[in-house]
Amino acid sequence: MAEFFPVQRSEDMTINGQVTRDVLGRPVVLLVSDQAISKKTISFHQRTNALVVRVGDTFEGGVVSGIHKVRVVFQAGDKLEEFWRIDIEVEG
Amino acid sequence: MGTTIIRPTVPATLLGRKLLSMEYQRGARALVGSWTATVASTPAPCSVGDAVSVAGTMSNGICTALRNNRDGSWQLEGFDAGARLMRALPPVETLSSTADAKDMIIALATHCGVDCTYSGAALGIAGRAIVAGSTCADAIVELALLCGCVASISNGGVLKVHPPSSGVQEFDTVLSEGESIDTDGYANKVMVLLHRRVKSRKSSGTSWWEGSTPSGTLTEEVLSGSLPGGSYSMTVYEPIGMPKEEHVTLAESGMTQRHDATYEYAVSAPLEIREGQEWRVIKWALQHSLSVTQTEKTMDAFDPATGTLVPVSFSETTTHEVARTVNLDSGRVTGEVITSKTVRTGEEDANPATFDRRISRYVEISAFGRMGLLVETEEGWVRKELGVYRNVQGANATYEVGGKAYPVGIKSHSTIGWVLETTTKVTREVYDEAGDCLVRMETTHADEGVPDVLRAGVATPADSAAAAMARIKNFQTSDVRMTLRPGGTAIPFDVSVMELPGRRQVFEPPSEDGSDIQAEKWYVGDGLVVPFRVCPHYVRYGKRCRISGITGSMTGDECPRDGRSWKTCPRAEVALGRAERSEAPMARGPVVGTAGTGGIVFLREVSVDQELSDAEASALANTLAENILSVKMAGRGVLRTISVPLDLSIEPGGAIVGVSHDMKGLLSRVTYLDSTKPVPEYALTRSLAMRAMEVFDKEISQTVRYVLGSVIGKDDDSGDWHVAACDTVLQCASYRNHSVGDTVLVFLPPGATQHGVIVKRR
Repeated sequence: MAEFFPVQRSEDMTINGQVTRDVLGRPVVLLVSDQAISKKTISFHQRTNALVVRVGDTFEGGVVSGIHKVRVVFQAGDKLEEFWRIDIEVEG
Repeated sequence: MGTTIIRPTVPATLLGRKLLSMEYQRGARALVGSWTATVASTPAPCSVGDAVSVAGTMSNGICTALRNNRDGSWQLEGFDAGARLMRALPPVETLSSTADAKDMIIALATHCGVDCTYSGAALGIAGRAIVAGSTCADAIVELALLCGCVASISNGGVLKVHPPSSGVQEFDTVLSEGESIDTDGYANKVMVLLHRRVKSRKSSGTSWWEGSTPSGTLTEEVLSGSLPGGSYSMTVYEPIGMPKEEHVTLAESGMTQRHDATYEYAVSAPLEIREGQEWRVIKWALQHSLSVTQTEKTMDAFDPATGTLVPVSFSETTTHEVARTVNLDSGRVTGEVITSKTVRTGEEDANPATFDRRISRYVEISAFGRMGLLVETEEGWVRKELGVYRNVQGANATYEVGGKAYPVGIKSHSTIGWVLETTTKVTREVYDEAGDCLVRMETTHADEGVPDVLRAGVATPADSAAAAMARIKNFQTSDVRMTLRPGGTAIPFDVSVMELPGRRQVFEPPSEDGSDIQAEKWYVGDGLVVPFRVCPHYVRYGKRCRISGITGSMTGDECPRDGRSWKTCPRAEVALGRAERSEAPMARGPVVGTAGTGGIVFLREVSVDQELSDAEASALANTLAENILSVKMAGRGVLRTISVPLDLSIEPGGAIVGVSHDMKGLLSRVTYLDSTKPVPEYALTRSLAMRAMEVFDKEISQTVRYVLGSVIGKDDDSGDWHVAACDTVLQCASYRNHSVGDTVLVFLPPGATQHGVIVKRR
């Protein structure tokens, strides 16, 4: 039976510009573009550290800008299981 | 309180690559702006030296450095179009002599490949006359200052030269602000010391040559007459006063002496023109001379055969001959042979040789005049006792000294003969650059006649060659002497030189506007310095004297001398005395122009290579002072620096003296003069006291200098003189003639490093 591990997706949206204040204290937003800068992170676990994508690949509507691999050990019942947690960062 | 949303325009690309960030700043005090940028690029977006432009803010810039970052992006650095103005200033003679200072700025910018807009007024004086600096940028800033303008580089890469203005645009949103006092170079009063070219007499009309120049041909003058007991006749070369022939006869007490001599010379007599005067330069050197002195005496001798006195004649003839090789061009006698011979009547065993005494000298100057060699060989025939000794060793042929017996050497044969003695003297000298002798080495070798004796076989018994040499060494004398810094040379073979002044070029005094003429001895005219034959104060029309304020012995203004013989005129004499008090007769006194009323005085000396009357010069000096003051007061004082949302359209100009754009931080920092705020007095006082230390880069070289140099040549095309000074060769204008090697005082205008004006000859 194939194992199933949940995939976690997250997305950060930041303003493409700066938020500051003028000398009178009023907020001023300086925008390079109305379109926000988005950054997605896809996280999941697998038993091996083999990767399905590489940095620079097009993936899920963006470009893979970073991959993080962490070895984690879980206790399942009375035995220990070894997994790899993979985080793939995609910039839009 | 609403939120302000601003969408600055940020250029997306640089050199076609994605622009990640960029900062571009143009300062208040430099014509060259600098920038740094980061672009996403693989491989490098450009090479060093490539042109770089960023839409909307910088054109015609230059990349001067680049490196790649670890993330693959490239960081670039460089300057804007102002860097193109850093080319060396072209030679002054290549610049237009008539273009206004305004046009000169445009021409210099064009020369550098930078477009220029000039929105100020023309200065009204040729830019070439006041251009100074080592780079075009220096010259442009200087010219702009004198024109009352500031210069900056626009977004479009264009050099903008315009009068400063106090107004500044309104900014809707100001993110930060600050103030500072900038008093470096600030002034509220400007004084301009204007030097100008001495007025040329070119326009004064005709010139003529006065006087006469001696001929280069030698003339002969015969001097003859009688002496007590004799007569003489001499032929003398004039003007050098050297004899050609001499004949003298003297008779006294039965003795008759006759002296005959002839002389030949190597002569050249070129014509040289110096400072409007011809000079006949006669160089000569004795080439050959032959003198014969004959003495005859008749005496009474007792004849035992007849028991009477009979007259007996006796004569002696001495011949003295000098033969030289001469090189007039190098000014040296390169060799000479002096021979003397005496022949007497009835002389027994007369010297059969052709000479009694002979001195040969050979001179060689080498290593470009730094080393000298004199080889002097003196040969003389002397009578010596000659013979061969044989040692006869036997009991009868010894003598005792102190109880010891010595063998007696008995000359097997002996005779008196003529022996040639040779003395060779070699002098070597080393000279320094000034021609002074540093080291002299003299070696003298006298052979005492031994080689001649050996050569004649008189004293060569069964000696081997080696034994003969040993014998020679024993008899010869040698001497070596070395002298350190003897000063003068011991090789005195110079050619004689006589310089005779010739005719002078005389210029007619100007008939108009002669009021500025001072009664100096020398006046400048047409590139030459010439004397005036006619009094410079004399007005032909009405025969009037132009000198005022000096009465002298004259009544009224009518000149009793018609302008001639004016140097003895009391009026002219007094005027001459006034004129000679002038420190720099080559340059006219400077005029002073002022502007402003404050106490912080900025003094600037400006040299104008142009003829200006006092009124013109004064007006120009005042204009320059006003212009400088307008720039000084607009560019210094209370400065405000504010940050505003990025606006690439803001550029220096008007009251804005500095702009910096940060395209990542989306900010523009603008520095401008706040004309509404006066500069505090204490700051000005401090500025005055510390000006010497705080003079900023552009002004550090803006002081007048005088340097001493040596004339090394003349550029026939431009008429400029090349003067070696300051470890370089300066191009100098001058209004009088110079000779190579003259030491001159060169006036360097502010900032000038290549071009100067010769103001005085030492």
